[in-house]
Amino acid sequence: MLKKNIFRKMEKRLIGILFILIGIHMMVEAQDCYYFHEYQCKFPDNTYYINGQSRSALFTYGMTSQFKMVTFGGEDYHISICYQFKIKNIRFRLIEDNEDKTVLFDNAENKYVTEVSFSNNVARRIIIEISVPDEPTAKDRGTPQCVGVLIHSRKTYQEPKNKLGF
Amino acid sequence: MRGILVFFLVSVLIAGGCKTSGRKENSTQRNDSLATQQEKKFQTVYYRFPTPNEVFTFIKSENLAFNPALINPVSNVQKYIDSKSQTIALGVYIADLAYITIFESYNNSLAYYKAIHNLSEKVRITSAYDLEVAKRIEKNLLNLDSLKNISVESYSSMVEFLIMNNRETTLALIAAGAYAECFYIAFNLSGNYSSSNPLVAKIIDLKYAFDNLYSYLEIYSDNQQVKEVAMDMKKLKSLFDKIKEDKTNKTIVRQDKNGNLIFEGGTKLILDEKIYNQIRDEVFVLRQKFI
Repeated sequence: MLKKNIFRKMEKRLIGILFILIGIHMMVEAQDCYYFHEYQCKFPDNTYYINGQSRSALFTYGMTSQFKMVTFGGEDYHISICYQFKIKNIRFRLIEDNEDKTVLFDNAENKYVTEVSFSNNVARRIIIEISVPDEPTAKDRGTPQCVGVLIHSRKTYQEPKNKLGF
Repeated sequence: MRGILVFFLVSVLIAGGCKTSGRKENSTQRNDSLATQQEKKFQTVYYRFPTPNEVFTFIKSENLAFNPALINPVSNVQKYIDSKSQTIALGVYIADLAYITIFESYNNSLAYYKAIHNLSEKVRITSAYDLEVAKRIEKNLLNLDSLKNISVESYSSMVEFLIMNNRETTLALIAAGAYAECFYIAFNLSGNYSSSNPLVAKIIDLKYAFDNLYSYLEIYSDNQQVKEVAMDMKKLKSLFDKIKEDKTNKTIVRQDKNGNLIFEGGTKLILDEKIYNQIRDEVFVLRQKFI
């Protein structure tokens, strides 16, 4: 009788452990870069709102990828990037999507900073370009890793006109 | 019975493990296919466009009031029977909820949230628009700020879900419905053309957002439903393309005293009354078709 009870308890524990293992297995499978930008990239102060054009993607060493976003006139933007790569010289550029392809910002000229804020006076199409340099000796070379781009925006603050007294 | 359960669980785990080890064995093959995928990704340009919440935040000004006559009645939900019309209508109602929350009409929020929940279940997006939230709205447990946040987060969560599950065609249809509704509301709020009307200027600015949306539709137009919607929007696209671009001013980048960048100048969009009216009329036709 005692032996039967011990066996039942062990059986229950085994079922519990198996459920947990299956759960962990499913979580690892589903991980990918889901919400990577929201968990890993730097947030600006709370006067900004998160912008729905933010995204994350898988990159490998030596890879460049772009996406096109839209900015409105009269708004401020804060863009921050984050990544799983151990190297620090990941380049990000903001390029105006016009005939001239004007480079608006290049972090390679700014010590590879991972965030930038800007005000914008007219609507623009902007290309966000991320480049991960090639590292032939990197141990994790064959593993694709996440890169996130987190975008925030707010209305540009306008000084009130004719402000006198209170 | 327990024995069967244990056997089942062990089998599931072993099957999963086998799948993983199988992957390890084929790691070269997997990396190759990943490399090919990434090469394809590199070649593809990704298009993003502002959400309905961002569109309404952009066009909102103090003198604009909420007009309930502009939103698609929730009673129409039953009308949408096939998956295409349900998905497009989902986008329409998402835009309506964005309009409701940004223009602070709390009373309308619950019905529209429920309509979105119903349609999202029909198109198999269950995680984003949670019924628990609807219950909290019903009990007045949420203020307008939290409602705005929920509207933003739910949309963002839905977009992430669709992208991660390779359902960008569904996202394309939802976005098409949402933009048709955003434009419909925006044109109604702005009224007749006037060059001094600030809302008219903002509608012009939405051209780039529409361009990106249209490019996004084109990328996924190997899907028949997306192809049909892109065809529906083709006339609108050609009208938006008629907006003149004044390229005399080059873009200048300068820095303020805090080190923040300021992007000034650049291409200016010019919209005349004739094109404005043509775009508005086409938006109304499109919206009628979608709802």
